[in-house]
Amino acid sequence: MTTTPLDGLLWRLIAGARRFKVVTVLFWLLMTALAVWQVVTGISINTNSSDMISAKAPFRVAASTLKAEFPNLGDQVLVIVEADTPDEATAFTDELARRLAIRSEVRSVLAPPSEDFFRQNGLLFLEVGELEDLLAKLTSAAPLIERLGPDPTVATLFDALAEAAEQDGSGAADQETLDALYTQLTEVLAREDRDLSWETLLAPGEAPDNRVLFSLDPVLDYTKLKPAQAVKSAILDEAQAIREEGALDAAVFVTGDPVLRTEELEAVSSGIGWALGLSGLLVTALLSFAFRSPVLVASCLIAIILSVVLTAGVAVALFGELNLISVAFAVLMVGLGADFSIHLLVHLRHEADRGLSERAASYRVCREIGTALSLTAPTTAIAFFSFAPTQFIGMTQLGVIAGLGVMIAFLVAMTMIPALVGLFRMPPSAQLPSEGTSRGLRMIVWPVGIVVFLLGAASVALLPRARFDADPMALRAQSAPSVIAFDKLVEEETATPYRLNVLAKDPETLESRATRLSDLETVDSVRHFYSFVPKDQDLKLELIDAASVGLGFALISGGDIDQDLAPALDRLKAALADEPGEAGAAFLNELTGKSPEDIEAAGPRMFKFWPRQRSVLTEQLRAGFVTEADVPDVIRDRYISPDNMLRIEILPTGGAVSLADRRAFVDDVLAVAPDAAGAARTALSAGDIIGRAMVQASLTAAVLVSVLVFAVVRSWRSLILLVIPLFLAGSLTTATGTLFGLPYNFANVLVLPLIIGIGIDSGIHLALRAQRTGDALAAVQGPTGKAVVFSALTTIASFGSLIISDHRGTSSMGALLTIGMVWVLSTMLFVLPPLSALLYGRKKAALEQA
Amino acid sequence: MINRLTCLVIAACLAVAPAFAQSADSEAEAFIDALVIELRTNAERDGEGSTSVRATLEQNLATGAIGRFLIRGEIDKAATEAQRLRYEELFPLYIAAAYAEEIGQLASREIRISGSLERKPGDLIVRSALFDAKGAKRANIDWRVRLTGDGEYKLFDVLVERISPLITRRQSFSQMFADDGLDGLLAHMQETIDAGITIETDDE
Repeated sequence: MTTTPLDGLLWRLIAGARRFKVVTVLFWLLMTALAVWQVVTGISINTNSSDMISAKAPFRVAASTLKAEFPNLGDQVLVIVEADTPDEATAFTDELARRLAIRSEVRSVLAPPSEDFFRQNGLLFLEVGELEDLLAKLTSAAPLIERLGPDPTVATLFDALAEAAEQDGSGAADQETLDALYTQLTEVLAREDRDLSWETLLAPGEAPDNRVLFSLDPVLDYTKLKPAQAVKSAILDEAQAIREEGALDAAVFVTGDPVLRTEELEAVSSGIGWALGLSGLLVTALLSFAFRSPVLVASCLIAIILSVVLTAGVAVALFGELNLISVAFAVLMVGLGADFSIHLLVHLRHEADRGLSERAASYRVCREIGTALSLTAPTTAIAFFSFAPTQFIGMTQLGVIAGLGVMIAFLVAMTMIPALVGLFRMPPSAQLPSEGTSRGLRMIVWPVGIVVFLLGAASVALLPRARFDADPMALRAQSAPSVIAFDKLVEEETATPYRLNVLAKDPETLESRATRLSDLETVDSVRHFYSFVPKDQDLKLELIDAASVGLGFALISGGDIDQDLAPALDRLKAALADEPGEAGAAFLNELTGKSPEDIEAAGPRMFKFWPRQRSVLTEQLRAGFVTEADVPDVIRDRYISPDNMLRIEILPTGGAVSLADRRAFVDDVLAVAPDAAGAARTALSAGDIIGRAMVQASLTAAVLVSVLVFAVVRSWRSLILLVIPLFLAGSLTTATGTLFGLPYNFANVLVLPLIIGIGIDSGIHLALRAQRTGDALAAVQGPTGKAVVFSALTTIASFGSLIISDHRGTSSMGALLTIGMVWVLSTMLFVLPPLSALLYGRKKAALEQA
Repeated sequence: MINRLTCLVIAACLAVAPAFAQSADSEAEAFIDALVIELRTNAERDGEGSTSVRATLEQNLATGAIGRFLIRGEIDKAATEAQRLRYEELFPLYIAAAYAEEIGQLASREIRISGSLERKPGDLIVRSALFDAKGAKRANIDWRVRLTGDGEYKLFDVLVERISPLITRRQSFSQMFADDGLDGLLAHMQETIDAGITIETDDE
């Protein structure tokens, strides 16, 4: 049997730990206590995914420039109010915005329907054609508006309708308005939960949306784990208070980056306790099955826990602030900590089962797998360190932490476990693998191996289609209220969150840039400060003035008074009987089936929003010439920085919902404005950079690990046996994710280094066994194979349960990790042995002959 | 049944009975009073849509202001100099013809002026109501009058039951411009002048 210096070094380490058991245990406990203290007092987590990319990346430079000028832009909270009618949605918004404006959690509110500036000048923001249509509609309804007056009754309305019906719609309102009114009144009479929507009646074309969107600048409390929790609660509490007062009812949705992040933390933590508890049980059960000894199971679990805690201490000491990627080092450390411990313990158990003493078993283990064990730690660490020089800072940090963590886990496993086993004694057991299992495995290894190999080869074709989805929305729980609200935003072209921004130093530059950007096919429109000074104001004001003569008289009218319902109802029924339209007939049918008392009772619901509509109309007719000085500060602050930099907001055609549309939009804008920044660019550019970083790191790791392994074992065959299954496992995992819509993202990207880590460990063990014996299948059937299997299964048991998480990022991590481990097992157990047989065929024959 | 434009014509042809001795602008009221008397007299003497009725309207309507209002914006920007001149030439005849055609719906109704008010300098509203033969009020009629720089009063708009036909007429012009271009609009104006028929508007 050949040995390397590493065997001897490992033996001295294990022997020392066995000799100074108590000292060893106390040493690690002390280190663990220090690590806990370090973590408790020093840890912080930066949840901003953009910060995980190098600050020198062009998109981050652009984003930083924008943020420097408009620091609060990314912190806006968006509120969506949905009600049964547009009237109720806007009325609810009025009240909610009014209440929020005086809350301490809110810095400023921008609710256009409730903003005096828009209430008075809103008509000026319509296109000339739109304004003409609206004014024509309103003026045609002027007689009805006049008759209803400020305090209308059902009798007044019905009499006016009767007169209009008698005049074929040429009286109180046009026929189109009358039909719409008949339809709404039919519903109001038929359903007690329906209110009449005057806004819909008086709007030309499509009915207005029942949804109102407004935004606010929150006061975020960064001393709290969830900085936006207070403002979110304030919005929801005020909305609930309005509902409880009974006058108004609407559903309120809150979203925006700060709220999304807050709810993301809730989603990530929700149920995680149960998941981890279940994982603990599964891992314990697996280890019990593997070791058949509570002492060994406890030793293994202690080693895993110490590895995680100690690595956390080192991570905090080194970096202080972790990010969403690097904080997941815990997952890696459980997987890799278990890996070292399982390999050591399985072999110890195996040797002990053969009747050797603990000392002899330890020595024998060092002789058998010492080189492999000693080599796995530095090779895995090198693989992780390969992520350090990339632009993907998130993975850089994880690479350094995991690289150091691997060394810590190795040292803990090789010292703590011998010390613990020495302290508590390993119970005897004797269950060697059966021949039946052995024969079965030999029968299937070739066909399964060939299938896996072919699948692996085919999977390479899918690698170019692999992508990194850097959109933070892809991680978040679809059931989270803020994500539901975000999806509602995406539905609306004008409210799409996938926008871009560019800056201009003066109005001339702004005009020039805005014009060039507007001309792009993928750009729907641009918005800037001067957009809030309407165009063609002289003409629009003249149009409003023309309409305001009649409407003004109508709106100051006291309305018809002292009308009785009975004669008005009879007159209306008689008039409707001659109505040819379906709407009139349906209304007559509904009226006929109702008592006058029932009809009278519906009155409040007919006129609930009438006073508001009159007030809005009155204000709209007061529109005056708008200058830059009239634009409210809440808008000015969003488009002009304190340094007088001007922001141009670029909205994509169609909302850029699909990835392809977003890519086209971003590419087009960048061709004209390379300094564009915003959500649309961030996710795409980050994805591109991370994708390149992953390839660069993987190739670097492959080269460095190969060099190290070759330097130690001096065998091309061993290197091939290590690299090919490992590459196939990575390729198959990536291809499976691509096929099943599981792209790499910020949450699951650590699966790739985990595959590399565990793959290298397993590969080195099996390859070195194959080098020694010429028969890797024997290794697979022996304790090495068992360790490989249980190591992978332990990792799956640890984190596979996360697949059920609501948080899509966490869930995708559980899914991809499970897929990755299955492929690692498949390639190690079924591809490596046949490959070994091909490479060592003659050697094995020679060994058998000997 | 009273159509808005019918009311306009009625108003132009029937005697006006001032209801209030005091008014914000008695000159504007007097202008409207005289205008409707003249229109009625001409219509009764020469017939509906007669040349004399058109001439009265042409003289008393603020044709320049109305004409500019109806094409201001897109149409005006697109017009060549020749088209603009042609429009200015045709418009007074066109608008007079368009209103005069309504004389065909004359009825023996009475219009009583109830007062007037000045919205802003030179922009006045004369308020009146239309009564049927039995003396029942049938509709509000508001006359929007402009005081020109020459000190003359000109009729800019007539609102029946608070409805101004200016917006809908502008819409019709815009639609015709979009469909047939400015030449198409000019051709239609010429046809209206020749035939004495008005453009179909949404409110008609």
